[in-house]
Amino acid sequence: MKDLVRQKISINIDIMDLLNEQIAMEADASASYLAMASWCDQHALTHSAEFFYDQSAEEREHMMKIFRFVNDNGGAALSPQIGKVAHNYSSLQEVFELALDQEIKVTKSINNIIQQCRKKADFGTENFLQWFVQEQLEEEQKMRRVLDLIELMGTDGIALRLIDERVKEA
Amino acid sequence: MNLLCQSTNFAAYQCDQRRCFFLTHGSKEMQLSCCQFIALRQKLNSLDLSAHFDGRNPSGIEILSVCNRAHLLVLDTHQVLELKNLLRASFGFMEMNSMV
Repeated sequence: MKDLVRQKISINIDIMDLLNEQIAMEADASASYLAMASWCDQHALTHSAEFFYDQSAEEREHMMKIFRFVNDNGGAALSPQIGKVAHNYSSLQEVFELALDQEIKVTKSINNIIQQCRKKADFGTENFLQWFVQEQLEEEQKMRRVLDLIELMGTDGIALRLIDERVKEA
Repeated sequence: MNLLCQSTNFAAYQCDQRRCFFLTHGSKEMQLSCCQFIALRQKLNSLDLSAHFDGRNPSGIEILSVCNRAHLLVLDTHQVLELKNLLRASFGFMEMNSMV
């Protein structure tokens, strides 16, 4: 019997499902960062707003990278539905804590796909995802740096303004 | 034609010569390309069956379009589960076959 599915798709079919879930996760992250950017803008935290606008665009780029990978390798990428996005936060600290949690969630998901790739011997996808492993380390570090600043300086009075100015260097 | 999997109401076949799949449901026969077969699997997997039990879909009926809307499948909860299992088994069988 011919292996018609393998002739059509270079990636494992179960891995393709996981990649589609990852696409949805990246889209959610992009929408979530956009909401954070909006909150920062409304609270005159212009540098933080700019930071999250950039993050939102970056998450979309990640989504598109996976989307194209799935389709370029014969799979079927699914355009994701965006779930409900929170728009209210109590402080800048909460915003960055949520951002860090989100990045950790994405990292765990990427690591899980890589684990499954090894199980299914889908080394092409594993190789593709290595870029994301490095990227996630950097993303987590960015959020952690800002949270460290908040811990060091507090957010009372001028400190919040100073932190906002340093966010662009994160 | 090679039988991939068969259940009470459905059967899936692969035709090497025509490089396609066939899905039968009673007397209905649908010819699917590889992409269409994968798309059907994705559609079935994305169905939220909990909606059949919590009042969001009280009829428990799902309508699926297959092969770029050439066919429509009207399925109840049991049939959705049966077809999902059939496709899971079919893809599992093909994966096993690729290892040989």
